[in-house]
Amino acid sequence: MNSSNEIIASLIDVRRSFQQGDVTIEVLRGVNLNVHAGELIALLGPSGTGKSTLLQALGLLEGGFSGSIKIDGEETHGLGPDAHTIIRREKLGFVYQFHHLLPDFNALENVTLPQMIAGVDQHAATQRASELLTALGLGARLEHRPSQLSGGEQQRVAVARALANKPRLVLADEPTGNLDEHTADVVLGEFMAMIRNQGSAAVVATHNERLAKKMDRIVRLHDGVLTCD
Amino acid sequence: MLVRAKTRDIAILRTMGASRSSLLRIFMTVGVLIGVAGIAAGLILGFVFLYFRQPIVDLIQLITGQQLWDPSIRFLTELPSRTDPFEVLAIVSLALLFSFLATLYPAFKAASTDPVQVLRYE
Repeated sequence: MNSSNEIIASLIDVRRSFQQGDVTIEVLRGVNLNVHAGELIALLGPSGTGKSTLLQALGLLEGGFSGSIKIDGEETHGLGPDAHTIIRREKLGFVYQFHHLLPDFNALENVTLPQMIAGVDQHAATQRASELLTALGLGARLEHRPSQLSGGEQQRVAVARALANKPRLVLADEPTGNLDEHTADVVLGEFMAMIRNQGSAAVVATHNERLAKKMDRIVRLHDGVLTCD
Repeated sequence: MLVRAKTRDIAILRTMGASRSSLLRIFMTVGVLIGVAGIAAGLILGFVFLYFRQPIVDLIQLITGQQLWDPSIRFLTELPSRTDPFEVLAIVSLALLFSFLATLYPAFKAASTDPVQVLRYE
């Protein structure tokens, strides 16, 4: 574990509820969490317990949360959607269960694009994308479109894309949930190594205890409450 | 149509940090470019049609066997045509304006895509 005392993200008394007819469903009931630099946290919990909702809170992807959400020391509560977009662009990376790559772009372009959105010049962005993909063993697949790649390769491209802008925090929602056990181990190992090399932090939602044990810390979400192992 | 087909891609771009204004610009640019291409194609086709108007009338008459342009009634042996550049300019300008206006709604719709809602149901 390479984590430091620097806090990359913190949730203080974060709550979220949804209204279904007359029923109010409390998905998050006062969640507190600090994510330190360099730390890999496994967020465990059965399906439907609010893991994705918690990641959306950290990813500033959805409104309706109460409490305090700080990213890299900046309080995000009360900021508008445009400010959230800028924080997402500069400080956050996302990996999903289904790779969500852009089908019309090849692997290299998929990793180049987020950098160009962040204002990096195309040559430098392509260079970094190529280095990341090569480090993930995809040096010979740069020009391949997602449909020409295997599930594991697609997910590696998604990992490279999430890390392209050197985010402070990477949020991964079941990143290996769609892969077989062996490929999941390989992809997760590469993902963790790259996160550590880069000095980022990651919160990985999963329901796989075996994979969770490879992380620095395990937190469990149950009935909207977060507990640490 | 383009916005509907690209909803998932738009959601992915939003999670990457693409701003609403940049998506607005992308879809307005695409919409206007499609409009300009359509206007250019319409102009070319229109001029070709006018240039070959008489052979086209002759061909239709030959196929249908009907006299479409009877010189004994109209006192003209050929279909007349006069291109007014100001009329062409006015029509092109209106077409450009409407193609621009037509991009506004889909571009705003693209810009307001909620990535969570889209990716949740993928």
